[in-house]
Amino acid sequence: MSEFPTSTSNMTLDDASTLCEHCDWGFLVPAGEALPVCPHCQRAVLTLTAQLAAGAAAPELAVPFSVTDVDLTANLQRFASGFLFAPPDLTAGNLRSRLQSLYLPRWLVDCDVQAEWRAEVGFNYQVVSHEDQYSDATRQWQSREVRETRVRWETRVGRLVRRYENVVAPAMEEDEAVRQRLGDFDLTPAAPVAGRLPESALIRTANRSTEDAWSDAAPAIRQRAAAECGAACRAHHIREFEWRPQFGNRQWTHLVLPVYASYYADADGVVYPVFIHGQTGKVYGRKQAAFRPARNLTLALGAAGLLILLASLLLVLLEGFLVETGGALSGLGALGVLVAMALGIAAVLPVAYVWIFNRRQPPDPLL
Amino acid sequence: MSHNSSMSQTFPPPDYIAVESAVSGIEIFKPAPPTAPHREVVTFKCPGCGANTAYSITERGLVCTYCGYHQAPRHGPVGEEAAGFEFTVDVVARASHGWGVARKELVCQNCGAHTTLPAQSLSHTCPFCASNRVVQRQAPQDELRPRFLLPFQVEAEAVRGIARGWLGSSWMMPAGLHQAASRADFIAIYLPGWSFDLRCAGAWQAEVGYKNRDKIKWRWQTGAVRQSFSNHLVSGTARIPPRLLASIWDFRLAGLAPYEPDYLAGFQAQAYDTPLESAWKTAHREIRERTVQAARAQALEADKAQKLRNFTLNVDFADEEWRYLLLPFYLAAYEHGGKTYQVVINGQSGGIAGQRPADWLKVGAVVALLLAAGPLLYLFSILGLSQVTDAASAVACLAVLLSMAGIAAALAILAAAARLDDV
Repeated sequence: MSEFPTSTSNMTLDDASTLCEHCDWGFLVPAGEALPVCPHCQRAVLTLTAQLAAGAAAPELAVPFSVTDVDLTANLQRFASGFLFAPPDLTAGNLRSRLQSLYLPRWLVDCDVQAEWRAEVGFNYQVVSHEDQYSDATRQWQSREVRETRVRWETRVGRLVRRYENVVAPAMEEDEAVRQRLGDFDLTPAAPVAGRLPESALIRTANRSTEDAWSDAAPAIRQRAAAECGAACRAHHIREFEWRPQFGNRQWTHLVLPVYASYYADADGVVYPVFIHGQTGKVYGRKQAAFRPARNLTLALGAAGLLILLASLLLVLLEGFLVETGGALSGLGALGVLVAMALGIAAVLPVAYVWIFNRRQPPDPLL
Repeated sequence: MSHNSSMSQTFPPPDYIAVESAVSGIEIFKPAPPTAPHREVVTFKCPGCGANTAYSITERGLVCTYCGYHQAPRHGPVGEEAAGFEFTVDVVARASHGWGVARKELVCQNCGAHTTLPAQSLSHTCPFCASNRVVQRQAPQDELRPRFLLPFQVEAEAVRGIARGWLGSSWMMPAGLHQAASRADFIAIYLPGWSFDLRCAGAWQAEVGYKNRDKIKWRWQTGAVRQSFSNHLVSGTARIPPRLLASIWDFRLAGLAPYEPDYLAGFQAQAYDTPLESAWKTAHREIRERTVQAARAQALEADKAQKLRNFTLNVDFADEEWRYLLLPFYLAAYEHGGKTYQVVINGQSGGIAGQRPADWLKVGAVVALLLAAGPLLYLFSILGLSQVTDAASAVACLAVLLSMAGIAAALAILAAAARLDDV
């Protein structure tokens, strides 16, 4: 079996295989489209690698975009707001206008399995016990039956001849990171790719061969087999499942998953990518509070506090050496000192907020 | 891909049987249940000479009295660690049924007792009422099969001596009772019992009264008791009065052995007529009372604690297990004065309990004599010694003392006779 499926029935000769030299993500760009900025890192323009090179396999199944406009807008709005000193460029409208359709790859494998297996299967059963209560007041016992569920373990061995279909295996190294940050995908709506994918959609190329992916698929098949053996025994639990399998007739399918990519820039022009789950609308990205406005506010508060402090000290001096007002100026001066101290403490808050907020953001790059 | 050396080249492994699978394409095998082939009838015949064999208490195995052949039981004692059953919802449905050996069940028309006999027995005496009238009936198959039993340790020859010693120990018993009991035939019989294991945790709350100078000061206290009960025995038969069984209910379960038909060869056995649920409730009742006593004792442990009031206790039972056992007894029934009396001997310890009538005529005569001695002497002092004033006074005093002593002795004898007469 070749390292990558070579079916290219849905691709044209003009579809370009490209690569980002900054983050090493590869993409298939639709024919006739200008080479875009890398939607993953937003740092470099994609460059051509080779036309339809081996590894740039066309997808056979695609999970369609299904997030509604309303949910998308609401999630973007929630992402763009809710924190102080947001960059002016970070708005739901901007994010929405810059959406780029993107497909992430995944492998599905079908295979035949013949195996001898052995396991311990557990059957639930209920044990009857009692809780009794005695009281001197009534001099009687009250008894309540209590049922407790326990598991009875028994040994089973057997043979298995089954075909397992659509076992999921990662087609890119970053698959687990995508799962953790955007969540999993519902593969039920996956449909054969008939014709072209949505216009201007980029397809991330797989950087994991089927040979590598098999090391993830095999445990998944084992897990399914264990569950089926437990179901075959009509057991409630299964443990210590062991088997000697023989796999055959493996068939790989290239599946793609829908994700939107967008971006915003902070006040210094640094671009931050944002990703949106194509089914649930979950948004993932680094929020960057702007340092400059926080710094300006800090300076303003600090300066105001300094001025008030100086004025207060002056009033105290006037009271002490020049003018007799019966303590009014001293009182005013003391009040002014307190206000200056409060302003001094408050001046630290904006920059502290920005520093703490930015430290808590997810790392970059995102996926 | 895993390679397990325990999955052998032959498949399925030996002693595994096929099980129905709920998923096509998957075959399932499970270990075959470890049961011996069921035989309707087990004939205890000596493989050497063909004579009948029976279980010998002395030899602790099947013995042929003609050629001396000996066969020990297949399994040795398991003691108090014998495996028990949990109280599952479907416990009765899971347990195996039947006795394992074809036995005749007999119903006594006199007292209604159900007893099973060895298949080769032709006649017997009902061990409960000494009746000789018996009807044979097919044994029911819906009874739980006993899993363990305590083999006999007291020889049949020793039983008569035990009975004679017990019956000849008091003048208050009727003459001839000794001989009547000596003529009684003791039947060796296994009677059913239930044993229970459980843990209980109790949380109590009470007002404890502490002595404070001349007053009692009340204070709320709480505490917890934890107890484990192992092999708590409850009788499985209602044919023997509980008060008789209670005085000889001192079995040592260290000698508990797995049930085998060989142990019953030549003995009678009775199936349970106190079902598991009733025995379980009895055990609960007894254990609850012990837990209450332990909790009360704990509450009064503190220094100067004297009284309790408003005591409440919550008890949780856990890890409850049960066993159906056969326990060894010797039963006899003897007649005296037109009445039938029961005697029971613990087949392991030799403890004896039973019904012994008191001869109330004899007791009454002695009591009358004791009560009359003082007044008679007093009358003598008045009538016979009226002329000798000093002597009369002395005798009168003596008569008074004798009357008081006679009353005390009479009361003691009546009490002893009442205890003795446990009919």
